[in-house]
Amino acid sequence: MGVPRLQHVGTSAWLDIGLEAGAQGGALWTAGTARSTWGPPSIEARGIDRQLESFADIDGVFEIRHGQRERRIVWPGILRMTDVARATILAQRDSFNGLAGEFLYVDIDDTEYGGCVIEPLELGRSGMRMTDPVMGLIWVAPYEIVVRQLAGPSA
Amino acid sequence: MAAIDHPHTRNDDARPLTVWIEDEAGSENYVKDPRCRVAELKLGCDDDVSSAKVNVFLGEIPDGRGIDPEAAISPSDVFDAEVRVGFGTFLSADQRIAIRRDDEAGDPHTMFCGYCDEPQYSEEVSGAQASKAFSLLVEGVLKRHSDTEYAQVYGRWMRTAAGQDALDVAQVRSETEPFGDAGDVGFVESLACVFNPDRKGNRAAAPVTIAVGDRDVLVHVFTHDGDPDGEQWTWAQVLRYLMMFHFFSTRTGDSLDELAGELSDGNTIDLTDPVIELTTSDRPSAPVAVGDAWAYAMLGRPGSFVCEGCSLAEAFVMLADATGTHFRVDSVDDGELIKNRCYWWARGCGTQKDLYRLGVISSEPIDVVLANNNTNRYTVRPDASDIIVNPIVRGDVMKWEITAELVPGWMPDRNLHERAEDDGDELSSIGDLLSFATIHQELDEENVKLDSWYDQYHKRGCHFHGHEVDNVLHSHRDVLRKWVLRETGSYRAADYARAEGPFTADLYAPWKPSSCNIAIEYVDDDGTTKTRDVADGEWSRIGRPLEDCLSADADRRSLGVVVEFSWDGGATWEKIPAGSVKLLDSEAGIYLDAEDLTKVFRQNDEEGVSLWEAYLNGVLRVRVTAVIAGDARLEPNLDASLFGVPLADCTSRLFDVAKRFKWASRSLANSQFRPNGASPAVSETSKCVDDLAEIQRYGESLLEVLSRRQIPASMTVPWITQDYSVGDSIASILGTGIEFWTIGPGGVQRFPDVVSLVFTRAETRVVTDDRRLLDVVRLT
Repeated sequence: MGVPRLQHVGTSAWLDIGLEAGAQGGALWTAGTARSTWGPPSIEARGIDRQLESFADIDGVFEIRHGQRERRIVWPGILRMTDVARATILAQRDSFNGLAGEFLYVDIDDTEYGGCVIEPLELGRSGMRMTDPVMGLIWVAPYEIVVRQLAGPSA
Repeated sequence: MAAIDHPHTRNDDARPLTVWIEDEAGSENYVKDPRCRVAELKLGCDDDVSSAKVNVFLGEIPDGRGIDPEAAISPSDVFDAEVRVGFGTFLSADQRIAIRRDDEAGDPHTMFCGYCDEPQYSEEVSGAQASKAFSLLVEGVLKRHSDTEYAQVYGRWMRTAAGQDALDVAQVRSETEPFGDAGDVGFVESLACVFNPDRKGNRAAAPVTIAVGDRDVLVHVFTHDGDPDGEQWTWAQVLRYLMMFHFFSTRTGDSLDELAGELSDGNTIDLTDPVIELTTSDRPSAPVAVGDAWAYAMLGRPGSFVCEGCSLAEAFVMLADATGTHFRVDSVDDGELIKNRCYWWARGCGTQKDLYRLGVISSEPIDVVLANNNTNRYTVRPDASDIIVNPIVRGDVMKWEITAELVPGWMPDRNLHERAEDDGDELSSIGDLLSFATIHQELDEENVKLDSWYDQYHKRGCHFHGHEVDNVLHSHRDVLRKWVLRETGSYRAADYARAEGPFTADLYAPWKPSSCNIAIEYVDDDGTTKTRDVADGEWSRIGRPLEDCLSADADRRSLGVVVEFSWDGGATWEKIPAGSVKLLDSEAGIYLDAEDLTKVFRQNDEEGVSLWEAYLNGVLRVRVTAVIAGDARLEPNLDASLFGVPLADCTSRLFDVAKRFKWASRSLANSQFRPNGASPAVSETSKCVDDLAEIQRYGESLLEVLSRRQIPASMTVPWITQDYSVGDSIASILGTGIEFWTIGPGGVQRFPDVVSLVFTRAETRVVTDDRRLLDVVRLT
């Protein structure tokens, strides 16, 4: 088994979000269980550890860089799920939140980001229900997956 | 001139401090440890041992991070000496830890080296948050050195018997020519390591030569206390002794570095070379030029410098304290190795450097701006409150050994042919008075008590101490017994002058110091030592009890207070049997304590003329040779203007150094025992001292220090820089007009030392300390 990966899977209009890892928490949103909106995750710029100094009566600020630090990858969406799917997803989310160790995040354009960890995942409580022509009565819940890439650019 | 080690662009990359650990104790193979981060590094001097606080990351280092992966470590991996993954051995207290920083080319350079005796692990919880922290307190090698066996200072290194015998064949013990080598020196454990105990020299005059490769290192060794050929140690000689016998781990090697144990020599042997054979008389005079400051410090003399039971580091701290110098330990790269070298310097005499706040000239490139501005936080607090312009330095009371005749200290007595009764009787004849005085010698025990002379003048007589007649107390206890110098002026001629005989009114004028040719020694305004006679009337009319002579016999024991009598009007003098004479407590004078003065004769003349008869005949004289104290105390002549004191007002403080500086002369008066006197003594006691030059130097050294402002300051450079070292002198913050001068015009300018550098992740703090020598000058 290789390094765990988090990546988009599937080509339908509703993208499936899966996590291949078997024991690492299993798939997050599996096909047939729920659907998510599609939208590109935001890949933030890598953070810089900077120290700012100034001098009285000298204009401007001077910066000393102590190195690049982590980067956030924010992946928002809206999930639509049936009652049964919701229970499964909540259980899967707990497993996912408990994920230890680092994984590889693979972006929609297959760009890989190594050394990532995940923030605890919350499902928003919109309390909204609607009727889906395919799935029937479903719950609608916004979510945001936040991934932090710990590894530096040299890694 | 501008700063050199600084960022070059507005957003420059830092070159952080990195931690390197010996892979095994003593291997000197340092491996960079990525887990360690320097929280703070402090480089100090003297007793402020350099130290660093290093935080250790406990967690896992995963693969793909550009460094070797490592599993998480637990504190027990280190505390319990388990094998530490990735390093192959445990981190023990014997593994050296170095802190380095890369230069601009990327090569690491050592800044500090030490050992961690105190790893600390802690877990803390605050509500829902828990944290673990693992830190190392790394202390400089000086601390470990002070725990080695050879660094414990005790006992004395002296010439062995064979070594001493060989020297005695070749030269006299007072010869200062170097003689012998390391093989002639042995360790004597029974004697304590005390330099110049009670200010008496206990150094052998001739040093030994220790060959270190091609270099000959002279080292002075101890002799025993009380050695008449013992010389006084200078501080340079003490420092060299401590270096060779307690700093280095061995004395055999081809270079000074080969002698090193934990610490190597930096400049100590080199700096002591020019002064090692000099004495205090070669000391530069104050005010001291910067170039002479080291010699000035090192050519002082310790007084009872006790190192017994100290570690070398403690001895060094005391020595730096006492001499007004500093020492530091620098960790420097020597090829692949790290050497921890000890450097000494005189205060205020380091390389002069500045900090910079020159501002910006328009369109200057950033590189130039940062070279010209390297401090953005500073606090400077010049303090003139402790400047003393006129220190009052009081040495001991000055004393002289004199020979002076005494006069009767009793009122004229009619039984000594000195006065008639008040009713106008003529004086009785001498023959009758003599008979009156000696009749009792014929009487038996029972009848002698009834004899009038016995009753009044014999010590066992009933009325010897006094009897009342018509409400008037008559006392005879002083008659012919109390002899005085009359320095108090209380023996008025009207009461005490005899009408006849030698003790007339002239002799009852108050005693004058000039009658004993007393001369006082002093330092003139131009710095030369001069003497002048003590003028009449200069001394007040106070009692001056006599003290033992300074003149001594061959064993250097004082001759005591020498009381002599003349039976021939002063032509010849001799002592009378011992035990008869006591000194007066509150004035200069003696008291004859014999029971019967008609039985006191000259030596070997028991059938001849008694003391009583000699007095009746007018030929008895009494003189005393003893030490008398004057009114003046030993004091220096100080001219504050030579030191550039930056205050116009006169401020003063008293320094009582009477226990330390004394002056007692047997030459500058009329003592019969003085070297060119009538009866020169064989030697003198150790109390015959002349500390005038010493107190003058002491006073000058006080002014050297007390005439300066203090400049404690703390300046922060907002990046890590190696432009400054402990031991540099900070002259100014250029661009601000702040100059760290300590003295006014006319004095020798010195600047405060950098005594501490503190590095954190992001800044360098330069701490200066113009701590006064006053803190360390011994006042008693």
